Amino acid sequence: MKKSLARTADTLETLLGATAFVSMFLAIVLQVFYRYILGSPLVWPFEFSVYCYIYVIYIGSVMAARRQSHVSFDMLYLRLPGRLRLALGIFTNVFVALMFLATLPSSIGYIRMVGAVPSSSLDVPWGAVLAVYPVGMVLVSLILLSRAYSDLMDMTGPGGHQ
Amino acid sequence: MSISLWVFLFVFIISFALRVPIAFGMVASSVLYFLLEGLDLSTIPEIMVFGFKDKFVLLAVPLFIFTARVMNSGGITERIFDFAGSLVGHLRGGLGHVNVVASIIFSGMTGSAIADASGLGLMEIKAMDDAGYKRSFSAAVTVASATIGPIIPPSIPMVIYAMLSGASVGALFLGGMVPGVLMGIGLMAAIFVISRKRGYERGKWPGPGGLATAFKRALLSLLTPVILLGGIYSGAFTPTEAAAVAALYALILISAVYRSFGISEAVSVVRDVVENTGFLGFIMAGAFVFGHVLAIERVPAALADLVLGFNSGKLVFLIVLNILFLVLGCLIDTMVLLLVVVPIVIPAAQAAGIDMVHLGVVLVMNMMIGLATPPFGMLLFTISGLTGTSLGEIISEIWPFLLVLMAVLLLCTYMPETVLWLPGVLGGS
Repeated sequence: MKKSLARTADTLETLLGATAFVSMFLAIVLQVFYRYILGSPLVWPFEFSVYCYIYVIYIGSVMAARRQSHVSFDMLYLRLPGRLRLALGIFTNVFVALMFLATLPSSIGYIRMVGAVPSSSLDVPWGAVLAVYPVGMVLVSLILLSRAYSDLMDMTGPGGHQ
Repeated sequence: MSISLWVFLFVFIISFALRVPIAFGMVASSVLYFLLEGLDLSTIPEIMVFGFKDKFVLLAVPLFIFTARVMNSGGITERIFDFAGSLVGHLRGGLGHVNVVASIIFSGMTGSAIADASGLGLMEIKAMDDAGYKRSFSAAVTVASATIGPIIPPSIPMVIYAMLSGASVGALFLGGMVPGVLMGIGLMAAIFVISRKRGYERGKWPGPGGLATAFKRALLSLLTPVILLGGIYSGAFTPTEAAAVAALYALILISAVYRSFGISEAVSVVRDVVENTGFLGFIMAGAFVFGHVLAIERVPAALADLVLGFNSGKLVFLIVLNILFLVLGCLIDTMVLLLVVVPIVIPAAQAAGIDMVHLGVVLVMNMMIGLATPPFGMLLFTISGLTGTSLGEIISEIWPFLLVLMAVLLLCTYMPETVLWLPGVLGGS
C-alpha cells in the first residue's frame, strides 16, 4: 500500500513536473524561433514560461520533500543520541507543518481576492498560478506530518527506538 | 530590533541545527514572525509565488542544470576529457592538469561546481587511479578544480546574484573569466610542484595529429559555450534564452549526433532537473520571505549605516567580507548564503562604493572556495561520497590547492581590475 502510494506520487510528480519544465523550455525556444526565424516576436512566452517555472518549483519541492533531498545541515543533529534525535525530528516536522498550514486560510483568502484578475498577456486568472502555493504547502505538510507519525510509531511502538 | 526578530532568528538557527531543510526553516521562522507581529499572512504566498513573476533571468538556472545533466549522461564529458588530455596530459603530473583544464572547459557549459565534480570528476579520478596517482590527491584536485565551475561563465550563483543586485549578468559572466583562468593556472602550478616532489610521470604527447583528432571529436561539444556566451554578448539572446538555446543544442547533439541519449535517460534527467529546481526554487522563495522580514526590521539598512559609521573604506570592508564568506561558505550552503546573507551585504557594499560586478565575482569566488574548505565544504562530501575516499584523506591533500585559490581570491579582491578589466574592454557592463 505504502509502496504503491509512493510509486504513484513519484509518477505524478515526474509527469506534472516534466510537463511544466518542458513547456517552459519550449516556450523560450519558441520565442527565439519566432523572433529570429519568422521575424515576428511573440509576447506570451515570457509570462507563460515564468508561470511554468513557478509550477516546476512547487512540484519539485514536494518531490524533494518526499525524497528528503531538500538542503539541510545534519552535522550537529547526527551527533545527538538516537531517541532525542527522533523526538526532536518529530517536533520540528510538526512545527514546520503547522507553520506552513497556518498560512493556508490567508492564502485561500488572498486567492479569492485577486484570483480572478487576468494576467497581462495570457489572460490567465492569477488564481491558476497562486493555487500552487496552498496545494504545495498542504502536500509538503502532509509529508512532514506522516514522517512525524511514522517516527512516533518507531519511538513508542513495540521494540521502539532505544 | 523587536523581540519578534530575536525569536525569528532563534527559531531559524535552531531549526537549521536540527536538520530542518533550510528553505523550510526560513519559511517557518518567517511565518512565526508574522504571527507574533500580527502581520497579514497573505503577504507570504504573495511573496513566495509572485516573487518570481518578474525574474525571467532565474529561468536560466533549471536550463543550466538541464544542460549539465544532459552533458553528464551523454558521453560529452569523455570527449572533453580526451581533448584536455591531448592538450596538457604531457606535462609533469599530466592527469592532474587534465583534471583542471577539463573542468575549465566543462564549466563553460554547466555553471555548477557540484555538476562538474559529480560528472566529469568521477571520470577524472578513475583515470588518475589507473595511472597510479594517490586516490586522495586525485580527489583533492577534483574538488579544487570543481570550484572553477561557477567562476567561468555560465554560472548559476552569478545569475542569482544578478537578480539580487541588479548587476548585468553579461558583465558578471565576463568578470569571472580572468579570475577563473587565474585559479586554473594557480592549481596547475601547485599540481606541477607536488607531482615533481612525488615523481608523478608525464603523459605521452599525442603529437599534432592526436591533438587534431581529439579536437575534432570534441569540437561539437566545445561549441556549447560558444553558442551560450556568443548569444549573450552579441546581444542576440537574453541569458535565459541563451541557456535554452544551449540546452537545445546539447540535447540535439547527444540524441541525434552522438546517439547516446534515449527515453530512459531523458526521464531521469528531467526528474532530476525538476527535483533540483524544486529545492533551489523553494530556498529562493523562503529567502524572499526571510529577506522581507529582515527588511521590515531594517537589518540591511542598519548594517549599511554601521559600515558608513566605521568609515573604514573599501579595503577593510572587503577584508571583513572575505573572512565572513570564507567562514560561512564552509558551514552554510551556497544558495542560502547567496539568498540570505548577500542581500544584507549589498546595501552596505553600495554604501562603501564597491562595484557590484566586482563584489559579485569576489563573493562567488569566496563561496566556491568555501565549498572546498574543511570541515563542511559540500564538494568535499560529494567527492568523498562518490569515490569512497575518506574525508580526512581528502582534507590532508587539499591544503596546497586551497592556499592557491585563496591567493587568487586576494588578488581579485584587492585588484578589482582583474575582475573589471574584461567587462570594461568588451563592454559587458
